[in-house]
Amino acid sequence: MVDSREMDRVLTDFASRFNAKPELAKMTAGWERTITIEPSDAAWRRDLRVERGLVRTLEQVPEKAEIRLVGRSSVLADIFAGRLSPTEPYLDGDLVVHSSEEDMMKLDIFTLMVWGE
Amino acid sequence: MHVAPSADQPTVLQRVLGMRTIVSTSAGLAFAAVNFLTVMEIRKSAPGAYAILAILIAGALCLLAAAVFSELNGTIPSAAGIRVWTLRGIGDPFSLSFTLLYLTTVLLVIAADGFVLGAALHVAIPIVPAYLWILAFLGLALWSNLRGVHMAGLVQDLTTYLLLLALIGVGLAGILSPRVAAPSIHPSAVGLITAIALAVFIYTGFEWVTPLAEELRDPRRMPAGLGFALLLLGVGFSLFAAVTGRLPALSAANLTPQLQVGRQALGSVGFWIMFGVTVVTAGTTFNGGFAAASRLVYALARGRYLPGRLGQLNRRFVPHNALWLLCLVAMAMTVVVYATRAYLLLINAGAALESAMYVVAALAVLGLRRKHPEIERTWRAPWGRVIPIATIILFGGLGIAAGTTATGLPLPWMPWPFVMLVVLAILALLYTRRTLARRNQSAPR
Repeated sequence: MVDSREMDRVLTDFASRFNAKPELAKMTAGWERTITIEPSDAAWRRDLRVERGLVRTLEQVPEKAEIRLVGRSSVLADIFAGRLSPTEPYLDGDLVVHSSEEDMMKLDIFTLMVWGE
Repeated sequence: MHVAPSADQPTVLQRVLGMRTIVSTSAGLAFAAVNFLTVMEIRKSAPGAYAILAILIAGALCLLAAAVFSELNGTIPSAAGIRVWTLRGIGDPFSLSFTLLYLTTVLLVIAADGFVLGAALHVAIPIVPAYLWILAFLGLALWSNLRGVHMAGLVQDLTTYLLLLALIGVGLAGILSPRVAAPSIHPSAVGLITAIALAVFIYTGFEWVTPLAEELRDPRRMPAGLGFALLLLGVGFSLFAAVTGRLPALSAANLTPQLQVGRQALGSVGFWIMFGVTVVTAGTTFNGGFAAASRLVYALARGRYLPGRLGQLNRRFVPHNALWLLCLVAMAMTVVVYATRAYLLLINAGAALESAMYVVAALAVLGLRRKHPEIERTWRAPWGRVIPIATIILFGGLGIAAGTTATGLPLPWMPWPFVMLVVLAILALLYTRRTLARRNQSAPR
């Protein structure tokens, strides 16, 4: 199980890598989404906001979100740390993505681009 | 520090779908132009009022499948449903093989609808060859998918409800028209079972709404939504069957019975209404079929179960290679079917495959209950194992009946739909074994 500190470190690293890629800023222009990350085996949760081509972690719990990711904390951490392609746990049922199909595919591709695929 | 969510005010999802969309998506996916030909085929085995009985019984049996799919949704809500449920409930390589086989159902329905559309357009506007119509419509569906064109949710819902309303309206008008119903000939027990097996094809796709499971406002409403969609389809196509019973001159070989029914009900206005229904229905089948299948192909390719090129997206975030492949295969299938008139093979194979799908879904329910009792289910089928087991027995039998029905092809003793499905299953299994072996050899990412 991954604790909240480890997840904070992973998400901070993810956000800084994302924000360092100008092509991602261009691709996500106009795509403004709040992403809720909810581990099924831990009490903590985290939220990300994609806005104006940049990603940041949210300090406050948002009232609304467009995307909700649910899975084991280790799976969620592996995805944002680039150790696991999101599609694999998704196809195995280890990751549930509550969102529109379009958002799901965008998130998949943006996550991969952060790690240089 | 992250502020913990209040139990009273949890974060809510911005985009959620309600009952209206469950019903319209479910009914819309099942509402295919080839259903009109299916009704004619049902009439061969169960004439007159028995055709209506067969359609209603098949719809009632599909309620069992609806309960099974609702439990699967309530256990693991996933847009990759069939892959996830069979993997977790049954295991690989069966899961991947069946997922690949299931993809062919989408192509079968698209090809069958392409055939009906070509025939209808050729009757209404004979100056343009049917092949050209087929290629043009499939090409249009490809183009709109490649551009990422989406029908707004409300428009999509309204389109489906209008189609159903048109079918029910024309059916009612046809029944009220001054013609005497042809006397019913009692079918044999085998004939009635065959008719019920074929009638399952009318409802094919009602469960394809499950990819939306992750977007539902309340997953517990899924069973009611699916049930209501089945009811609308059952009423609409029963009325259609009733009107065909009042047209004794309508040959079973007629490729556009819906146009004749429209004319019988409301004269030339009815003809053009049913023509419009055919075109819109085929269009939505092409569009929805390509969209759903291409996303599944994309996911499988990204998971390294299919060639990586199929997992590439264009600048509109659309899996363009997957779409091109599906469209080319669908075009080839449709043209071959139009040339050979072997549409019965598609209907029978589709009905058998759909029944097999329900059996597999029921097995997945039982497997998930046994292997993962710890998963919290938002909805569970009542009466213990009764519904899944009944689904396995009933649809297993109906699948065999549909797979062994005569299709008018040479060697009439040969169960061609069954042969076709076995060949496809063997190919899928061989591909799966090779793919899983390769994946196991390669190091994980």
